[in-house]
Amino acid sequence: MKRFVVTLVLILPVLALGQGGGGRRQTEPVPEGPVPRAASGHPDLSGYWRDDGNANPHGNLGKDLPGFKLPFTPAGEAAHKYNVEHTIDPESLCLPGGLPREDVGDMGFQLIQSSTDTVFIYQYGTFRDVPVDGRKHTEDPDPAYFGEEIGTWDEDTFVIDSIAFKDSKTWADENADPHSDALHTVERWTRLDAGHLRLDLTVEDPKFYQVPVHYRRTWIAAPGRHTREQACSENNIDVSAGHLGFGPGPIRADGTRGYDDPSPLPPLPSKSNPAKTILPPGIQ
Amino acid sequence: MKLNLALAVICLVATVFAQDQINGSLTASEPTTPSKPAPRTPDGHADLGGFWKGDRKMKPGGNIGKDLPGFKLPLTPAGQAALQYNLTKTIDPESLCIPGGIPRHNASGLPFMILQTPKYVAFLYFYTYYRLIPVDGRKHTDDPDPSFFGEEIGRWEGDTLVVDSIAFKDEKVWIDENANPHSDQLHVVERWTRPDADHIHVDTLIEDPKFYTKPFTYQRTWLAGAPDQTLAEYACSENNIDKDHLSPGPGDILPDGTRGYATLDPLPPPIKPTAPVKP
Repeated sequence: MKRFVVTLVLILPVLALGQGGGGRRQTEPVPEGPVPRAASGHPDLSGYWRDDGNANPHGNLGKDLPGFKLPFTPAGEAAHKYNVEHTIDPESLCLPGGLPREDVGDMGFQLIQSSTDTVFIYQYGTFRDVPVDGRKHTEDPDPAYFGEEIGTWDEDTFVIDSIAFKDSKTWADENADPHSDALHTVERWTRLDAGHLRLDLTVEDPKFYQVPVHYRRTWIAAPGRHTREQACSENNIDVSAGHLGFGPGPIRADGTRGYDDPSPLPPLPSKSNPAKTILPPGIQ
Repeated sequence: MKLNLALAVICLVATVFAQDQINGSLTASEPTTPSKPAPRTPDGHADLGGFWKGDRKMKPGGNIGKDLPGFKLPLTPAGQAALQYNLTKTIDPESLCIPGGIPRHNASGLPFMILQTPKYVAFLYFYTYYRLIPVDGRKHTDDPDPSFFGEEIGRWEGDTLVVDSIAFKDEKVWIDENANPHSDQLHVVERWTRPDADHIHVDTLIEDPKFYTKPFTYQRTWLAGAPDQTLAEYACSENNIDKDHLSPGPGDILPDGTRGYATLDPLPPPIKPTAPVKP
């Protein structure tokens, strides 16, 4: 039976990673103090950054728009319908989430800043490398999930300008909102203090969106954590057994992906009400 | 129809070659001018950061027994059995988009990047794999989860970055390109140095008492790439059509210790156009 197991697929690794710190979200202290600086004099954005819990609805590129309503063009509307009805979540297939999807998810990431490169390391074993060496966009860059990314500093804000995105097997967010190969993202990353990193994101995609979309959120420094190895293609039985359905599943009224009214769980087993193991016919 | 894995390797090489066109060559030659001293980070350590490329003279590539007489690994009977199993029953994990792990990546012919911060050193590899090594005084944990890169702990001994790794997976892992095995008892100690600006060197100690009768070593030097070289994105699982057509094992191992075909059929002669091609 086809199921929207995607949500489970996303949640399970987080639970496992949570042993490294995810469960401490509520009590984990927020580092205080001034913005640390690199030897170059720029703010040092390095560290593990966790979701602050306020970027609601998570996973929705239209978070900051009235009614979370994205300004689709007719082509964008058609592409959205196609994603919902005909595409499997690319991340469930171990494809990179790409931009802007990685910016709107609810998982933390590791940032490593050197004098020439800034690297974002994500869950699922994906990273992106942003060169920060004065180079410009090339004339005919190959399309990629993260695009061709160029980093610059605008005073204390780290700016990433990205073009040349793939236009197939890509979702712009968790909700299967689309983007085209005309996507252009500008990320402005500002470390407000020791504990907070803010993103101001502008998404332009004239093929699929009538006007640019703005998105803003903040992450919290979690110096005790780091990203862990995840071998996405190892035993990915949901893919190999063909159990994934198309699209993100239902989108709730609050703009997030998932079921509004899940069936209640059965009561926990106890001594008086022990768990029953039901075996398939023929198995003793 | 089952294809030999070598074909998949060719596909990977073709993709890598495409990247070669974008990012410059994948191997480097010795510099013709004297090297500058190794740079240092603000906290006083040798700076290992950069884009590092192999030297075509390093032979045999992909063989963790490179530095042993006859490239002969000291396999225990269990290790011999594991090698036979790998050769006959396992598909190259990297062809299935599973991380190569350590020490396999250190024997690879592909370049890599290092980024170094005071608390972490990150190694970034082709196929979009990375490893993140904490260098903050922590010790190995009591019961680490097994992984392809193991639980890696870094520390500085003078100008040497020492990476001590335990807790490896023992399934779907090859210790090198040639399908040599390792067990969950693997313990790897890498000692990374940067003798000058143009070179980075590793001395590796590999212990695995289940599969190898004694510890052995592997050493290698890489050369600095151009300052603007970076790793391009690589979506391993995108359209991996070979996945369902691969045979077990690495294919033939040549007398020189590398993986590949001993004899290649000659290519057919080039086709001569008989008439001008009309647009």
